[in-house]
Amino acid sequence: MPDLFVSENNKNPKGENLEKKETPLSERKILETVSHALPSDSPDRKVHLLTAYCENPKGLIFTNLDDGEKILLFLRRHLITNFPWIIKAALASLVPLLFLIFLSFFGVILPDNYTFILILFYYLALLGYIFVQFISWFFNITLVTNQRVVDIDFSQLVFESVAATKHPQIEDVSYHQVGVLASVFDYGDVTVQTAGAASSFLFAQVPHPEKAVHLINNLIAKESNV
Amino acid sequence: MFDLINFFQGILNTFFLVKIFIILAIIIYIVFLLVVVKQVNSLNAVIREVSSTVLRSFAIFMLILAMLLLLTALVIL
Repeated sequence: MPDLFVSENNKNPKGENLEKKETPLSERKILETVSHALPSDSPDRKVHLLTAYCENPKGLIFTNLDDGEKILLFLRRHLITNFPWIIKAALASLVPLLFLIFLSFFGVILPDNYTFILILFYYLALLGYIFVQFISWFFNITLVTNQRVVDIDFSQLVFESVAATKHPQIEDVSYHQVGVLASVFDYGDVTVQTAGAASSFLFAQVPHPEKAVHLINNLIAKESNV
Repeated sequence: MFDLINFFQGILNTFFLVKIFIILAIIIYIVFLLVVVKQVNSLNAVIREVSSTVLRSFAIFMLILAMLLLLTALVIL
């Protein structure tokens, strides 16, 4: 039966009917899942150099992202976990001074050019140590997308791995907060048990583990209802 | 004969050994920094964010500093 009345809003200037392009049902469900998994007050945030926890991160490009995949959560180790190596580096920066005092105490004096090069080399090596520690923290990333959980591991320059698991393969998500510092600064280990080849993922010392577990659980629950 | 002995003694004096040790250490450090630059580049290919460029620039900057240090050591030691 022909339509007797067509709303003016659905007509374009030429008077033709505009057909609304319907979003496919599965896509709609995924979008709903995403919107329910994240708290309503979580705006898009820009990831900067020291970000350790970010919901709806902006300005982040993960090259293996599939079509329609959106990063919902970005995690790194809590910033406070860098404290031990910062202390070590700070103490190590005093070593040349102590070494020179030690040498002069025993009456050993190095020529100026040797002292200059040795001190420069020492501080450059220390800078290298600081940089390697920093990038080991910086590139240890966990991403939770609307389709999967991605774990990027990088450690001490020699170990690099990228592992991912789809939400339906996740069997259990839990977190552990052990120690005073972990309680005070609200960080802990999140364990994701999977049915895939990689039996479990460990996101060590991530900030707000409870929120992260809640979000992943919500995503799994909503996806299993789809 | 004495000249030859003096020559070898001169070569093998403490500071000469220290110089060789320092130059070797700097060369090893440059190789290490080359690995760092390579790793930073490969990880930037996987995941990129605004500050990744800063890290890459810093790695290259350290490599340049190490090369300058090697040159300086060769000249003044």
